Amino acid sequence: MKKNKLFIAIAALSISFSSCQKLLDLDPESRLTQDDIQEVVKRNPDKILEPLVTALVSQVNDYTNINSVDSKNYSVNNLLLSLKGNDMVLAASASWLKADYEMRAYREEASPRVQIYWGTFYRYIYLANQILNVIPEINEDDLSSANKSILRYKATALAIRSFAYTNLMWLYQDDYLMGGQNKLGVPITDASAAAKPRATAQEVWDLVLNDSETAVNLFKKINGFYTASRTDIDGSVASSFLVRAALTTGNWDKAINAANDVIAVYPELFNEVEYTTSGMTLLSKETIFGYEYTSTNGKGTSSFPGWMNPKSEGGYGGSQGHWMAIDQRLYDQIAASDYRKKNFLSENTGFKYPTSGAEVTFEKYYSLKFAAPKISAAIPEYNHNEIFIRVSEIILAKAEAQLRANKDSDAQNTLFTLVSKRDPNYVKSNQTGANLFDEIKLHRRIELWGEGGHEFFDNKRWNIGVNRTSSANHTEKLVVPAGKDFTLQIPLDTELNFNDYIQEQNP
Amino acid sequence: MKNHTMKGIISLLMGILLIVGFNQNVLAQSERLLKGSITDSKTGAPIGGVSIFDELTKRSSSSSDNGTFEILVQANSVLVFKHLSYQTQNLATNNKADLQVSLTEIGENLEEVVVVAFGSSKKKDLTGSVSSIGSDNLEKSQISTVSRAFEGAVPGVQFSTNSGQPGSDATLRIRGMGSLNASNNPLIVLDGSPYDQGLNTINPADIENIVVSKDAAANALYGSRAANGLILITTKKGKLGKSNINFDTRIGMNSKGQSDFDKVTDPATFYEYTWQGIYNYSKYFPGRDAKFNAMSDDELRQYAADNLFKANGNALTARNGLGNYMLYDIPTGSTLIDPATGKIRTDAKLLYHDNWEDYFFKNPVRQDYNLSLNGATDKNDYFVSLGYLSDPSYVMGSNFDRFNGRVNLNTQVNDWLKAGASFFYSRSNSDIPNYSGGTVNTNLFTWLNYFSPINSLFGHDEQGNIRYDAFGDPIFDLGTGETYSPYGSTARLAFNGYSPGIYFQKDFNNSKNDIVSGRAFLEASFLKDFKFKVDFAVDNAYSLRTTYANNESGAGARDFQGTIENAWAKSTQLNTTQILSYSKDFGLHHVDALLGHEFRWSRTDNQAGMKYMMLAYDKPDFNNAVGIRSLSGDSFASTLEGYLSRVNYNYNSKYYASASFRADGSSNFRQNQWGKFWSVGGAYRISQEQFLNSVSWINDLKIRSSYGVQGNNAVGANNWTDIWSLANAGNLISPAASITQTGWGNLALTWETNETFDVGVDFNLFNRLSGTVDFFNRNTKNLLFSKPLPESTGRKSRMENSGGLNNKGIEIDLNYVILRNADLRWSVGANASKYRTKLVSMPQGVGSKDLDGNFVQGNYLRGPGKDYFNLYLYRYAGVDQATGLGTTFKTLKDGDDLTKYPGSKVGDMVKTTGVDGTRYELGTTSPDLIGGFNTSLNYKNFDFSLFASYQLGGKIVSLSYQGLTGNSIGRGISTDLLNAWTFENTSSNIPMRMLGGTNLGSMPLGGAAGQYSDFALFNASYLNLKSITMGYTFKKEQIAKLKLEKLRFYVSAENLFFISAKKGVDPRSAFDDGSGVSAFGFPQARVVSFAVNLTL
Repeated sequence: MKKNKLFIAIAALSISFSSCQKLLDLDPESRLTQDDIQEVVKRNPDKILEPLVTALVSQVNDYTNINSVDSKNYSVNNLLLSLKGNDMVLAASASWLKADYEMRAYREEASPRVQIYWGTFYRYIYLANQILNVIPEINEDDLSSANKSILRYKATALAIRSFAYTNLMWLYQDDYLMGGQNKLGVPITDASAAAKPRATAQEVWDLVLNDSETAVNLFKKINGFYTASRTDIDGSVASSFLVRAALTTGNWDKAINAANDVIAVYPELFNEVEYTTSGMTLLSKETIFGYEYTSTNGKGTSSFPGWMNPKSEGGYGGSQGHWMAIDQRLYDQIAASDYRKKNFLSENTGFKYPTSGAEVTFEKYYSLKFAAPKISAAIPEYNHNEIFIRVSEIILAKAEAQLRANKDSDAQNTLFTLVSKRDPNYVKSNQTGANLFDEIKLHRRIELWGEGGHEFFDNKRWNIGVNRTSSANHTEKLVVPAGKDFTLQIPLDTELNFNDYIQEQNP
Repeated sequence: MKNHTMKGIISLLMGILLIVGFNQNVLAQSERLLKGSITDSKTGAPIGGVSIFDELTKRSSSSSDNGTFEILVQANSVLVFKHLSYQTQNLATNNKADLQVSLTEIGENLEEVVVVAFGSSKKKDLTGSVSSIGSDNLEKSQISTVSRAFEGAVPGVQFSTNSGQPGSDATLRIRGMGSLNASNNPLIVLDGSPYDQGLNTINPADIENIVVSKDAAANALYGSRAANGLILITTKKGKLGKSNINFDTRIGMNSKGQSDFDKVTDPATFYEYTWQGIYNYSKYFPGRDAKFNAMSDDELRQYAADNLFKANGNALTARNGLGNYMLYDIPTGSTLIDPATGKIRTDAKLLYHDNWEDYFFKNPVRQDYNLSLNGATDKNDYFVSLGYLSDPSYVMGSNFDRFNGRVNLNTQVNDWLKAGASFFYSRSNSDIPNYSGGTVNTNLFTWLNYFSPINSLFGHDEQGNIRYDAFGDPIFDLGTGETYSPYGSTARLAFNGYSPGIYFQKDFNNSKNDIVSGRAFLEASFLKDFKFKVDFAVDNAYSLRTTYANNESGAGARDFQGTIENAWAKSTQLNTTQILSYSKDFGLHHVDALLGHEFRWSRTDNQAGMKYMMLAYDKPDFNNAVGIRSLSGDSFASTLEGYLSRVNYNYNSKYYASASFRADGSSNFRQNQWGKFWSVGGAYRISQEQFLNSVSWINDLKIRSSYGVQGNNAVGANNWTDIWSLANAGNLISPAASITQTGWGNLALTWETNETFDVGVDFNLFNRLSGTVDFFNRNTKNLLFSKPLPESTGRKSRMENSGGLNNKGIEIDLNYVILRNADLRWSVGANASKYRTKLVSMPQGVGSKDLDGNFVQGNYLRGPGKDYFNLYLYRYAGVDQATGLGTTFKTLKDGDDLTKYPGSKVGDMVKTTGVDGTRYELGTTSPDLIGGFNTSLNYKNFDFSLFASYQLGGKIVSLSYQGLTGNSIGRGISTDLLNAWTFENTSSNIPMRMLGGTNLGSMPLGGAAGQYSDFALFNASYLNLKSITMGYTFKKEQIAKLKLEKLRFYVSAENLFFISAKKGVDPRSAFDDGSGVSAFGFPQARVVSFAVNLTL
């Protein structure tokens, strides 16, 4: 009997022994938790803020809401927009990009295309807000080196936020000066997960202008308006964002002043050799902001250079055979003496891919603008640097702002500073008014062809639709009148489904 | 490698035979005549035709019609009584002069002991809903993993597999989908402890029995983890009697077990098809270029012939999707297609046509060897087994083989203490190429289907001969000009720079898994009615995955000069339970109860690295690469603790009641760690009532019901907290930290609860018809819901406990013995289940006003009260008879341009050829009925059995079919497209063939979820002949001379026949979510084997 009692005791004991609440409290080992982050922020905010800012800037290079070969990142997403205009021809493609070029299923609320931009830019905004949230309160007049770096983080976050909202407004509402001003904008969100209603267009643009101006001022304050690096966000980048926003909202003087600030620190343009042989990959001279390829951040065959360099072996727009050309009508308007014309083929040209030996023919008008030589023998052509902002754009924006502020002669001078570098025979324009505006538009289309989705956004600003009927080389002779077809609807599946506060969709 | 394995097994077998041979010394003893009679255990009727065999003397006899028998025996003879319709019985003669034998009929064994949670129960005493698969069933199928034994075998269990990869586990789901964002996998319990290492690590030959436990009362003791059902696996034990050695070998052939879609495979037809498409486009397409209008029919025919390789919609491009692949030789200056007829020129000579399937498919030999040794005395039992399986796939690059070893020992240490231990080792080796679907260049089935019959495998020269390189090796076509064409450089439509020929021969994704697993227990009996059992289990898994991309062809070669990745992982699970139990009978009252504690700890550590730049060819080792591309590691741990209790009561095996309670704590949560789970159940065995005693045809009749609450915590370890991830934004030489938040925690997160009600009837009538009918209602509350957030918040989702889900269903299982006598036994069985999954409620903020508060998720419209698999697609509306274009339905709404639809008003349904169709609710993808049926026939020494599974109703979207019915030039196509609409063939449902442009019928918006129409939506019914086995067992007297106990030859076939609503569609590739299946999956294999089973 004693033995049995012992057993019961052991049994009862062993049932209760292992109960130890602590064993159930396991913290993640391979990830940082909120506690870890707070601890570091408390001791040394730089250690968290710097990586957060790094992450934010790198998202501009590699984040996309829908990761497919035709929507790889910000610059490839812009390519989809460039194809919805007059100046770029999808010269050869069996399937990829055809729907974009034919402008099918790109703006309806259920189309995945509308989700790409929405999700991508709101991702930037979220990350920027998160940084602004983490930044400790400091005395902004005390310019100690610790404070300076905190101000730099703040300015960077504000700059990217203004850039993201600018793009959202360009896409999801009519142009500000073409009736968009009095319509609804996009939701203004914060770092919490709370859904927000659509703000008015005016409210969003006010925020954009305020953010970019604040960023510019902060950069100036910390002596960071210009840094030699072309891959970080500095005051000149923020100022470029300000130029874009001011130009869109008709703040002509603001645009001119901001442009002047930028132009002052980027005095040198690409020369002919650089312009026509580097494939727009030089992170020097006129490049204000761009991306630099490294072995750990390569974006592969469907990167922007992969799509846009027809000589790229393996690239979608290279040996995979999806090739772009300039519209014959625009090509014909480029002066023969303008070296920008050399970026497009004047006749059919044979080409042999070195590794496979495949021989192809690039036809007249095909673009070699982005045909950059390899960085090194071991790095394929599709892994390359990219340029997001060049000072040429800022000069053209300044000329346009001057013209629209009725400063025609200033505009002529500004235009001359750019075009005379591209075309030695260029004579300063003596046009004024609408004619001068047409000339500025023409040079903007030539200069920025294929870059940054500019044509799409410019067409909205200038109220130009798509009409390809008179083109000799457009393969899809589309006519889409300016107006609502260039304003995307807000995505249904990723936004309206889960946001009760948005009650009004774009038509 | 394989040869070594074979030799090893054979020598081992020889050794065992030798040892056993020495032990077979039979001592001569004096003999006497034993008489006896045999009766039915239930009716008392005499049984004739029973074969009687003396294990010792090998003499045999049989019973006469009045049940009597005679046989010469020795003093220690053991007699085996065998009859097809009765359970075999072994009896020692023990000097008895007159032996009374009573046999129990097969199919009526209510005394059979069934394993349940933390114990076992007699079948008649079960109050929960359980089904089982016995070893006899498992032995009949040739499966590399027991997960595949469930297909159609158990009512309420759904089976899905999206890959024909040998050795890959099928996914199982019990009683519908109970959770949206936590796991839906049942809990696997192996010999008493949960087992996380995958069913494919267990040797099916080691399994004695699998019990599927479905309802709350049955699962309550695993409360927190058994919300998705419980699968209890018991391995074999030594059987009382003399020691046995059993050797089972199966040698068979693997082949492709399913048909593809009917595709155009002949190049001539494909070129003609393309010509017609170009001609039709320029002649009829509404958006055609103006230049075509000015051309005569002859000119258009000529245009299509001249530009067969250039036309691309309105444009002429450098080359179109045909990629300049020209397989014919034609006279200079002529065109391949005769413009007058639209047919290939009669004088065109075919130069080459590579047969890809011949190259990639083969019929490899499957080998399966199992050797086991078992025996038991009244105090000890043992079971030792070894197994080897080699199961290469019918398709290049895919393989599975596995070694297994197991030792199971149990011993009665003394009168109060029992102990047992099992040890198990498994090593599996798999080559798992990425064939499971999707239009990706690593999926061979994409190559075989998506590309047209004119794409070549090898590079061909001007004469059509295969080109060879300087080393005499064939040159593969990479789609980058390797093949000659008179029209310019050849280029494949996609995946240029790759050749599957090199790719799938050299590259691999190999996985080696070592599992070491042990189970041990001590059980003490004391105070007469009490027992205390301590159980301890350790499972350890080590895995090494090596992924190699060669340095000759493909992305790895082009970008990195070859890459190799090694990923190591180690995972350990410790599980311990302490159970105090009590069992007592008070007259007719029986009470048993238990009280216990369980603790589980598991941890995984892994590390992966990739190196690149390889010098040598075909030397896939880490040391043969120089550059480091990545290096990463991770570790996860989790713990679970539970306190459990159960009380069972029954009166005279007639009235039953049971109740259980369990409290569980989980490290997956932080503020609300503990959940409480419980169940009550009862049963009433009506057949025990006096008034039914006289009704002889009711052998058993039981009504049972249970209700209980279970939990689910399988939501991942980190969802309770915010998680930040570090990344390197610089490069390997100068790293730069980048940090992003990757998880948004919810401290309040807690258990998802399942409330399950079950009512069922078990019956056995006429001792021939037995079965079970169950109804269940399962409500999931506090759903672990990954609440989607609007993307303007910058996040995707956040895990919450909100919303509810309901599953309701009915299950039937029937078995009927058609014929039963001494020579012949024939029985059939069938089961069927029907269930529906409904969303009851969802988190605040989900749903949009335009959709009446519902929300769209992929191809589904979801909302409270709706079937969870409520399809929401565009509806294909057939061919527009005026233009030949495909149309979709559209419901006119405010803002639509009504002038385009004369006579229609807002709200009317019209047909549109544009991208402005409307999505409609098109019913559920859930099947109406799932199940299986089987029959088994034994005639004398022959046996035959057949198992089949089926599904009726439901819908499935086939992305493969969608891919095969597009209108790009140069894609592989379904033969359905050959019967497209024309002005003559106006009844066709396939849009007019107009290639290179846009035809919006089947894909109004695009190819992704939510963008296509029901054009590729099919009925999800199917019938699969899972397995057929035919065998012959030699009579004991025939093999006695060979000193064999048993010898059986059999042939067995797996997946012999499969039919679905559309050839090429396999609805088993997904559960209800028939829209989530990637295109071009890996079809299942067929196995036909010859086998020998012998016992010494």
